[in-house]
Amino acid sequence: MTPGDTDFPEEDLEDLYEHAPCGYLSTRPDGTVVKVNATFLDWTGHRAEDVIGRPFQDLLTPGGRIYHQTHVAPLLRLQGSVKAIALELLCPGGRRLPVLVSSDVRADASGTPVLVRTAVVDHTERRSYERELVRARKAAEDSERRVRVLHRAAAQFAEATSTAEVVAALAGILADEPGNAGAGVWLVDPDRAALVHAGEDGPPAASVADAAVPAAAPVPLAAAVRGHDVVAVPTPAAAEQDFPAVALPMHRARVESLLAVPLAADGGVVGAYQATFRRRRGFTPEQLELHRTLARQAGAAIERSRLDEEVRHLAQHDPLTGAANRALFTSRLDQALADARRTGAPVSAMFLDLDGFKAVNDGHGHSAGDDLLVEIAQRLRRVVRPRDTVGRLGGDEFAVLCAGADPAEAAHIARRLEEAVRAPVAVAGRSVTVTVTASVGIVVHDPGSCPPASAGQLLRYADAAMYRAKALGKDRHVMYDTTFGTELPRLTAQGVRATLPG
Amino acid sequence: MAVQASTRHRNTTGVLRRNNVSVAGAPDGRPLVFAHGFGCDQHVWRWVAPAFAENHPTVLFDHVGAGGSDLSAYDRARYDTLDGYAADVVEICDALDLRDAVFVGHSVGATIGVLAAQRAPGRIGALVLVAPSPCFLDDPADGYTGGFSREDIDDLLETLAGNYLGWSAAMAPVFMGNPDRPELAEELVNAFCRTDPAIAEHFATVTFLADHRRDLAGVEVPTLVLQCSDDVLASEAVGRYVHRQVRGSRFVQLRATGHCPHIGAPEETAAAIRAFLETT
Repeated sequence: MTPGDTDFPEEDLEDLYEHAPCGYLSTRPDGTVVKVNATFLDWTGHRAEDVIGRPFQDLLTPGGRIYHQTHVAPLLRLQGSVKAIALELLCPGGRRLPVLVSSDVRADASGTPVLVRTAVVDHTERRSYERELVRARKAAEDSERRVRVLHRAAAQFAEATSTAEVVAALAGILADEPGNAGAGVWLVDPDRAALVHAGEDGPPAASVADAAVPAAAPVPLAAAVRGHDVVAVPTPAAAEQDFPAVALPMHRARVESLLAVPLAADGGVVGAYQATFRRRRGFTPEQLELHRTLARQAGAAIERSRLDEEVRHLAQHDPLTGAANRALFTSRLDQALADARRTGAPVSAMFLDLDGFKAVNDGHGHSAGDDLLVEIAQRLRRVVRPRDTVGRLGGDEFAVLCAGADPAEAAHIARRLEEAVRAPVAVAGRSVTVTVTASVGIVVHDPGSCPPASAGQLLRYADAAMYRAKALGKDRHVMYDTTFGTELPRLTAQGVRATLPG
Repeated sequence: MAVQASTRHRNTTGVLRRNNVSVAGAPDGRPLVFAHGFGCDQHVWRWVAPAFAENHPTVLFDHVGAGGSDLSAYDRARYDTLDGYAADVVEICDALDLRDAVFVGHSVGATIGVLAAQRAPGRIGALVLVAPSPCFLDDPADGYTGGFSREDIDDLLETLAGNYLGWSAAMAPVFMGNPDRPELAEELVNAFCRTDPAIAEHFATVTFLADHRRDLAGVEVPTLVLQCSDDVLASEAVGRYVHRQVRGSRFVQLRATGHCPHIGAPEETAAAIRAFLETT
């Protein structure tokens, strides 16, 4: 003590230790408390005998205990000291006391730790302020992320021009969620009373659902649609309890939790998506709300795109028979010709006119004629190949586009068409049975040996061949060739060749 | 066998850099790979690994996100489960062309080893599980007592947040490169067990909410369970559970207290590992 301090009361070191403005603890290297000061006991409300002999980490909250054992204790040994570690002491009655903890290791001459000195400072005020700060920052980050997801969804759904594009955009957004082990979108198919997987590749294995999910199935997807709300399966145990049918598939796919979310639109639920996660999730209300909002956006977009598709379909199809109208047929034929120039594959087009249709119309009325056309169009669609297009060009005139068909295959398809038309048809409420036949004109365009041709040209050649079939006695097909008169360009059975009119 | 970087592996250097892999010890002998747990880095093995250096190659590494690992390699999706960490271990074994290695994993590092051993048969020939816990959460469904509740883990996340507040700002000059203050970089090199706060929070979530109990039955290599006394993170009941689930495993109760016997009682820990090595 310096001379100037003579009137300052002499410090009793024992009193200084016991009543210092911070808590002191001495522990063994394994954490067992051997000495504690009065300040520490005052602050915490512990009695000395409750603290002495216990490991220091026992005085902490459970989370603090984990942090202490995994980080602070090893760090103390590695560095010999730790400074200002934020922890919370668990006090009698369950009260928590936020503190800052600093410790020093005292070692013997050989460097072996013998004692740890720990100082504890009350951190209550700053801790609560910091906690608010952390919470606010976290809330802001979460909300920013949600807004970003919904903003992206709104932009991509607005750009989508078809249901398939909406589905693809939704799947992409879901796939970008961290921890996602696979997401799939299913659409309601009212005809089959089922949800049908939408997308190119079939259901991903990890998405834990079949390609077609019956509406009544006891699985999350169907339950979400039935209940019009999100179904959360947060753990494998929850799956076993609520949806035993998916528990095993989840385990096999290494999926521990999932969400099934209905795609709700004004007109009802149009589908649902399922997001699967590699580990169990405690889904927060905010997360569930994000999914509900995302699903509402997607549902509305799907409903809108379906209306668009319906309008487009109406504009491109014959309202009576559902066959492609002239505009759509011509554009598909043009597209097929363009593809053929690239691939070198032939394109066949057929013109089909019904023999005896006028008699049906005149004898049994227009409504019977309509019945006949509807039935014939259905039959034509049934006997062509899946990717072929059947169009109705007007009256009793149909056309068929068979991309890739060479003359032999085209003739084969034509025979099937004739056969399908030839079978008797019940009309006028099944009270009358009528029979018609078909005259078919075929033109095969071979890009390897023919100059480029347009859809209009090909249809004119097929039309000419159809007239030749009529002239030869109907109920048959004729392949367009060069003998069809001088008003048309010369053709061969292999395709259109040379001498197109200038 | 010699431990050396395999030339067959296209990305050997990348893997070794990513996980800050360091190889020491004898050039020949059965290799030992040491994996640290949550909250630490490879420095925790500083008193155990050298005990084997005379007769074994020793491989230390940091999980991505910890210690001197490449933080830019931290991919939230990859590391959203312990499988991602296990895949890293397999890549390290491939990169060093290790065969029949003894994998020594502490705490969550032990679980990562359980997963890795099943992904890479032949690479990992034995497991030493130090204070293991396949699931820290209690499971009311079957009475399993992992020791913690979901609220306890939330409490841990809050504790982490409280200790990392401002950390990013403090370390920013180091990451940005500050040639005027080289001591900052020096400080980072010397700092043990540091990690980025966002990564620490994510790793804590993945570690303490994971449930890998079902993976224990798939272990087919000789396994040693090292159980500490008075371990609040991995109780004796949990250690005995691991021992029961891993067929043919050996259970050794250490006198060491707490969760980190490799730090608190390195001699006892090394002796138990050595005794196991002599019989497998």
